[in-house]
Amino acid sequence: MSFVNYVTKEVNCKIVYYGPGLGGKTTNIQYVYQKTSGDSKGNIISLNTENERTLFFDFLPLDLGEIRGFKTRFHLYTVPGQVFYEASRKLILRGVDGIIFVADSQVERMESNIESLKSLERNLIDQGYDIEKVPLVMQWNKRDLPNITSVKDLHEALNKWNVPEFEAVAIKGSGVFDTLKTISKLVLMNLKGGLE
Amino acid sequence: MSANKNIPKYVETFFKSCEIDEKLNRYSFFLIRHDGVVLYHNNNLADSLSKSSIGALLGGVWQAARALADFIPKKEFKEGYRLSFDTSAQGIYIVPITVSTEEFYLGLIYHDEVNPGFIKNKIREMATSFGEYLEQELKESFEKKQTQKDTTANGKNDFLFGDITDSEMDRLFAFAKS
Repeated sequence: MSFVNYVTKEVNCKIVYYGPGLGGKTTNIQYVYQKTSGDSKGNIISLNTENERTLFFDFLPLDLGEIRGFKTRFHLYTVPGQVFYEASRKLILRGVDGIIFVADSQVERMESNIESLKSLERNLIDQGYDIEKVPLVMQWNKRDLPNITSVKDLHEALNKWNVPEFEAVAIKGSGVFDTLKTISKLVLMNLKGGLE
Repeated sequence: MSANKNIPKYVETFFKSCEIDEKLNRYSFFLIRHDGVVLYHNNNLADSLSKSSIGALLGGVWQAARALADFIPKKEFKEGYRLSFDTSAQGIYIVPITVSTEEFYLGLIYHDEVNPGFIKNKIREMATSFGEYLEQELKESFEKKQTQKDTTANGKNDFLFGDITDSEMDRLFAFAKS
């Protein structure tokens, strides 16, 4: 649930990167962190296991600057992708304003993508959200690898809502900001609250 | 009487007017929403961690503990949970504040304290006072709105920004280094 502070004229929004394990969610926000100038970013917080897998969440606060007199602050979260962290994913989705679903383009990961998307739908319903009403953007990651599913097949299997989708190579930064910019726009346009 | 856009104003008024115990004022405390957004902070910690990060961690640790507590078979809630992570002299203490359907957390981070029980009690008192104050303000605000609704048709469901152009988004993302 976004938060508009009319006293300080600030908008806070929560964006969650969701997707299967090792799909590149953490890589996305690490790239955003690397490429963001000092004043705009806070510390990146990663609650990891010993082998660098996300245990609870990664968190990156981003100050985007002003839009129509409101300072905009985005809180980027990633969920742990591994199947057995379902409870953590559910918690992190609380209060979400927008979701980036990071799919792994490799052919052998299609099953995991589908499973993860089903878990997203289920967890959103549990939190009282309708996936069709939550801003959502798809990212087809790892497009530089050899054995990948075509964009058309990814679209057919994972994007039945026809939401915006981007090809990406998160490790090199390709597509990372396009995806983030699009979800940010959708989230900002979805903010309720006419001025009193 | 749900999410109210005046909450930040009430928070500011409360903390401006309440007399914070001198001892408590030496430490850091944060009032956050259930999703980790910081509403008020008295931050005396090192600058290495931003208030947003602290809010996210306080919110996360509470949510995780609350989910674990759901496994306790005995469903008796004579008193609400508090969360403590401490040694005999330093630690973190979180107290929830439920007002109507909204939940907030007051988190304290303290150190070098000879009497942690005393400051924990002060935090609990502050949480109770804040909860009562906010409940009252929201009730009044709700009643006022009901009266206004009776007399005027309003468009409170309007979108804050409506359409946003690509160039506005480009300006927002100008911070990104190429």
